[in-house]
Amino acid sequence: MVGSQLRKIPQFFKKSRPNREGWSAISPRDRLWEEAYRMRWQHDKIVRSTHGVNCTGSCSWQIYVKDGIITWETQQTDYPTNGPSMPEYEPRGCPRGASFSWYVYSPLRIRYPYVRGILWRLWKEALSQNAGDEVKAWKSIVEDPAKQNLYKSARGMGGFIRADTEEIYRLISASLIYTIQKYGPDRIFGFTPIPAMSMVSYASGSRFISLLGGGIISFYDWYCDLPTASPEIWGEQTDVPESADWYNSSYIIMWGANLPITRTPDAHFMVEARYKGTKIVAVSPDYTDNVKFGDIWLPVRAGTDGALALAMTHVILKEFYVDRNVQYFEEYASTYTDLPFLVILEKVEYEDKDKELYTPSNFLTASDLGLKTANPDWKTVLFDSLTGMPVVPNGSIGFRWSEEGKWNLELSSEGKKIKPMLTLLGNEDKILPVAFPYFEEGADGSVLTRELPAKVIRADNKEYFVTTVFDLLLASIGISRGLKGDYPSDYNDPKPYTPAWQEAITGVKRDTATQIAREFAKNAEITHGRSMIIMGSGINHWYHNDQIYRAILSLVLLTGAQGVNGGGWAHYVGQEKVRPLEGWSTVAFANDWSRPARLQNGTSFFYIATDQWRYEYQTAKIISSPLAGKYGALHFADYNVLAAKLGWLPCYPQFNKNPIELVREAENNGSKDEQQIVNFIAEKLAKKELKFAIEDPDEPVNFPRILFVWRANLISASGKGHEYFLKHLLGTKNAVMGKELLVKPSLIILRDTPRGKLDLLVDINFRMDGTALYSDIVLPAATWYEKHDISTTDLHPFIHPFNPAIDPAWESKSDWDTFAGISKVFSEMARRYFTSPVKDVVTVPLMHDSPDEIAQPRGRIEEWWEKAEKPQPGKNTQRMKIVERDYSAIYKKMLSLGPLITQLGMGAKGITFNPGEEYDALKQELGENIWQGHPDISTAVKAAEAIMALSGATNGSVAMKGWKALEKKTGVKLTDLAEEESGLRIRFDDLVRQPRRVMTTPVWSGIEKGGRQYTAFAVNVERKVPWRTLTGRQHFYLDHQLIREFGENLPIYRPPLLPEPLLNGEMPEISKDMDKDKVLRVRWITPHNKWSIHTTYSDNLRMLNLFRGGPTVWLNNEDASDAGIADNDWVEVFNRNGVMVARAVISHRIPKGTAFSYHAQDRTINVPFSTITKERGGIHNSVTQIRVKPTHMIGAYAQFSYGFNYWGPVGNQRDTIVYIRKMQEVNWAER
Amino acid sequence: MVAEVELFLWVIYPYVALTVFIVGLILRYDKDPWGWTSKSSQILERRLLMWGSIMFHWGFIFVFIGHIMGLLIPVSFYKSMGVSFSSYHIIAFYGGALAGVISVLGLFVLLARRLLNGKVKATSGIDDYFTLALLLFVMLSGLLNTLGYSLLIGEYDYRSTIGVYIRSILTFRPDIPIIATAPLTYQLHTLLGLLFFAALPFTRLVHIFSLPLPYLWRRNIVYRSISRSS
Repeated sequence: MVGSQLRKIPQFFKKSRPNREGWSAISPRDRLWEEAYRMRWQHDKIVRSTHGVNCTGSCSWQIYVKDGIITWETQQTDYPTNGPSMPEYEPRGCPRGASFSWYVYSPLRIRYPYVRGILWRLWKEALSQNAGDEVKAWKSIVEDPAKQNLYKSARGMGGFIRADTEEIYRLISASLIYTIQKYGPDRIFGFTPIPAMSMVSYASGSRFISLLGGGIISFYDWYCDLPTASPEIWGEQTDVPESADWYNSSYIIMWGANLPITRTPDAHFMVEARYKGTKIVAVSPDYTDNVKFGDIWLPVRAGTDGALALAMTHVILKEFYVDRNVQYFEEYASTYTDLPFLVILEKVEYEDKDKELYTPSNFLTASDLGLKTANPDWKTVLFDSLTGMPVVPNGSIGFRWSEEGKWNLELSSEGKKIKPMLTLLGNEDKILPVAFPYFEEGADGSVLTRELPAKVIRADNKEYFVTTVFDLLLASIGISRGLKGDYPSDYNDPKPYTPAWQEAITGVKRDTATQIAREFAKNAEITHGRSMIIMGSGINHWYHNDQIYRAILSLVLLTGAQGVNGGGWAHYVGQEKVRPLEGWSTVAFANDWSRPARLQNGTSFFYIATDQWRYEYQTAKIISSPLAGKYGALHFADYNVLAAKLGWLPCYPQFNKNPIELVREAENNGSKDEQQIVNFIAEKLAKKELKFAIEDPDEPVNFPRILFVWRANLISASGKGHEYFLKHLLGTKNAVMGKELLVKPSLIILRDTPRGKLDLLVDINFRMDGTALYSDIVLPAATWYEKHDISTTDLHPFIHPFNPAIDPAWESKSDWDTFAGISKVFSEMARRYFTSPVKDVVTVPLMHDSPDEIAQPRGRIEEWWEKAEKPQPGKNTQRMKIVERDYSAIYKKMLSLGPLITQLGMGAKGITFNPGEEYDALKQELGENIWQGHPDISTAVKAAEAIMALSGATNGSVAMKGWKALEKKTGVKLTDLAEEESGLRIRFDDLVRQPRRVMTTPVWSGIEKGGRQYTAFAVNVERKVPWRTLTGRQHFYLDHQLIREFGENLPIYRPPLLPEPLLNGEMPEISKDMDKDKVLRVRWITPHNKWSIHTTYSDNLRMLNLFRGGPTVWLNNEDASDAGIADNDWVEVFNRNGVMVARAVISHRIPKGTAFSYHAQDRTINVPFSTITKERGGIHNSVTQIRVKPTHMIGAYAQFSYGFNYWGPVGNQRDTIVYIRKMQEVNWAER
Repeated sequence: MVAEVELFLWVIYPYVALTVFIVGLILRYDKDPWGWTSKSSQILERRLLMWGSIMFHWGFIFVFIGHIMGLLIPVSFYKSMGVSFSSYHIIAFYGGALAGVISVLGLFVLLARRLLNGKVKATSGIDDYFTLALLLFVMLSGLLNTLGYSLLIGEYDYRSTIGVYIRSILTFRPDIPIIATAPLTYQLHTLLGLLFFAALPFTRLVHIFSLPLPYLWRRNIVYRSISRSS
């Protein structure tokens, strides 16, 4: 107010009134100044929301709005209690989360829709030339090589202009219609990660694209956050305890997980556990922030963690299984692991042909015994020590799909009680020498020969030598029990896998390894399993991550810690626990309207689409077993072709023909129904008239054409092999320096180097990040404080809402509204271009948790095309389904819940139920405004309500239906777990009031009943529900043919890869003037950042202020001084994949021979030009590349069957070697 | 032409400067109560600040007192008090030079600190440099008179020239000739001094007016009444 201060001036001249004693006085001045402080904490409103994608902490925050502006956020403190004697969840949230309010108004915020100017000009011209026919206009652009090149080569080069939202939607729709008509809907893709963090936003695009028939690309495997060991051991993607359960543990190993940094709001449970006496062990190559919480630190050499774990396994087996019998461990191992199961020993030849030598092959099954039973190939066998006879116990996967109600872990066989025999030693028929592959760093694989006890089984005129998995494990790990062979004599014998052996590899003292192993097991023995390993990306982002994890997880399996509160593994990387899973997947993949959706595994897609396979210079021989046969030395891409043709992994684009055309052709040739159409296609495949697209990926007809990216920084932060993305997928400037086709695949047709495969890249984003900069179209997205959504996490059992604190700023829209808008324009335009619904043939791999997971017995590879056989879809190749698509109805379907769920049922993880009552209730609650007879989900809140109403975690009646279905399959009583909550349902408004704890559901394996902390596999252990694996138990032994080719039947040690940073002849001009002494050659590690919100948002002003304000690379002080690099010098990091430019941070914390570049430092801030490429320096992913592991592609074999984000090769990036040198000149080239 | 320049320099400019000074102060006080601050950087650096700040401030206070003595109080007052011309000038010369030199040295320390200390430099804005530079120029031009003019050329009786002029301005009867004939260095100092007053409301120097003097005599405990109209 004008003069408000001046009016106070007279107060200065008035006298104060002293009291009688004269010590105090009453001043004549007013107290209005205090208003400022009062107003500081007055707000227009305070709204509950959270942060969605990227950080998976899922913390409830209060967002403050003042004068219409978001001012700040504070932690919510109203979490329901964890009960007495437990620490509480509140407050949750870290300083990085508290900096997000800044981001809403960040300079990088995308405020308006943008199109690259060149493309917009071409579009406008084409529109006028084609009389406004938009599809023709798009055709005229993308079919003209000159025009194509014009806008594709401009990607990433700036030049965005604002455009009208509606007009942009029309361009997008035209490109979609053109692509569907020309190539088929399977050339359209969408990428978005981590649905748990904002389920409705994820579902927005995935629902739209699934309705079109496009492919949704998975992220968990692509981010290398998927621990492939989890499907291998448990048949489960990832299932881990909530963080409060750490407090229940009395021995915790933090292994490659930096809790205070990456799990900031949860780390307190670990600290509090210390106060009650829990011992904390830290395993980490560098002195990270979590190490200081450790009672002891094991500084293991980066990437060699598996060796340490195997030595610890050695100690535990020796001291707790062989020298001494621990009843708890033995009972656990006999009931819940595959250790007692029998494995056939096959004769094998290696070097000396006359020497008798055996190798473990398949599990012995009921069919080997000649038993007449359903699915005999899928029922595994063990010895019963009560009768001394081989028996088929309940619970193996054969029982799961035979509907006998015997799929359970009761120790019985045909109604009789059994006692599994763990070791055959003492009851053996023979002692046999068995070969175990062994791998050392920098050397070819070799073989260890060790004796073990075997029994002879005779059935059907055949004779088998068999042994137990336990005996195999003991022999493999090197515990002789008096048997002969290459066994170490004691812990100090440096033969695999003793504590002395690991010392040479990991650098951890043998006594320390022994001590920790002993303590870990002793604690589990006393507490019955309360020993825990919290593990993370530090050990998971490696090529052989499954072997590292299998070695470490052996520790929790052998100590009976898994499935016990306070025990087991706790892996928190890219958490993925969509607690309301059934409802979410229904909405997200439009399973309520049509099935199946095209769900593509990410790593395979990008490996092929970005042509990184062209740069392989070695075959799989470098990692295969010395005993390998035919499948041990293929080109890495060949395995992916095998996986596609055998129905193991998804393969979109599907064929070298439009799938809609293909159905039309079949119908023109007289095919009447689905069966006949599929037959027609199978015949064409057999006659080689039709090819899988992956067999010829560089032929333009097989290119992916349109890609939508939302909630992600695909091209940059998660673009492993970033420069290959730029070169091949986008066709723009790049820094790729490697030579192509140094080794050639045999199953792929080789073509000229393709550039710019994508016709259109659409990014929906609120940041102008690396992906937005390279997109053709950028649509402004609402931030997490501007929309409705829901979020869950592994780390706590609550479900959190997002609420808009303000309306989406500028022209931004929520993801749900954006895709609804596109679908509306698309449907209107489709009416002109599609006269009637079309039929689309969808290929689906043989899926996990479906009867198809028992399609290929014994895991034997049968190449039907070699024998010129007609493939059998659903058996030895992809399953094929016909889906009818009415493109003019996409909008109506998008925004209303379809009736298919009440006709076919719905569910997850093999549990199916009919949600009839829930569907009817939703009609009344949500209305039928969009389409009469169907619940309206036109808003994000309504979509969230539908998701929660259809999920067991949030709706007690659905949980009851699921438990009933599982009771039927297992023959075990389960409904009591959910009975007390059967009438409860969590609604969106409930969440807004207070965080709500989810309910016990069969979709997950914890038991929350009675306020217990969630721990993975409690249901399996306490209720004898099998794991979804071959034996139904937790697996040590894996018997697929391809696994054996790589020698990984048992947990073994696989050293990190040592790829050459540059090959001879690559970058000759660099090699020439490279002063060899001044160039570092180091391993490239990209851990999570301290100064950013999880993996992105390091361009936040506050974060930049905290640390160096731009891209950095951390180097060891001695390494740096060798290369003449001082702190804060500019350095160039390079190899055949590309170049990154950054400042050096010199620290003794970094181990020698390693460079750290914290994850996701985008190239938006402070990046000078590279002297090598003469272009602006790249990002941390410029020097990485994808390396696929063949064993991750196995399919149609029990737990080795495809599931979205469950299985597939992982986009690992730590097996990377780079050169680093000081930059002599720093050119900013500012114009 | 000369007359117009003189009119501008010695009449228009002084009144504009003083108007800006007074109106500016009032507006600043009214509009920017939270920005009324000395903008202390003591939290970032203490050691140099202690030397620079104490030297500058005490020097400045004595220089200021000297200006009141010399410019606002007429010579007749001193005469009536029995202070002779020569004894006044000895006091003014030694006292003024000492205070001026200490103050300027303090300013140099403050400027060096601002330029060389990374933390202080990083938090400095253009206004900080402007304030320091302005003070430096004013003080140096003053020293030029006190030390330079007095030592090199001789005593100049500014009390009966500049002082008269200043009083003529303050009494709205501007006396142009008396200032127009003053030595160039005295004119320069006068002009810079006026600039100092004009700039003051827009800088941290406003803290001059927030000298917490009432602490010297206020009661030990001071209450304020909740009623807003007291």
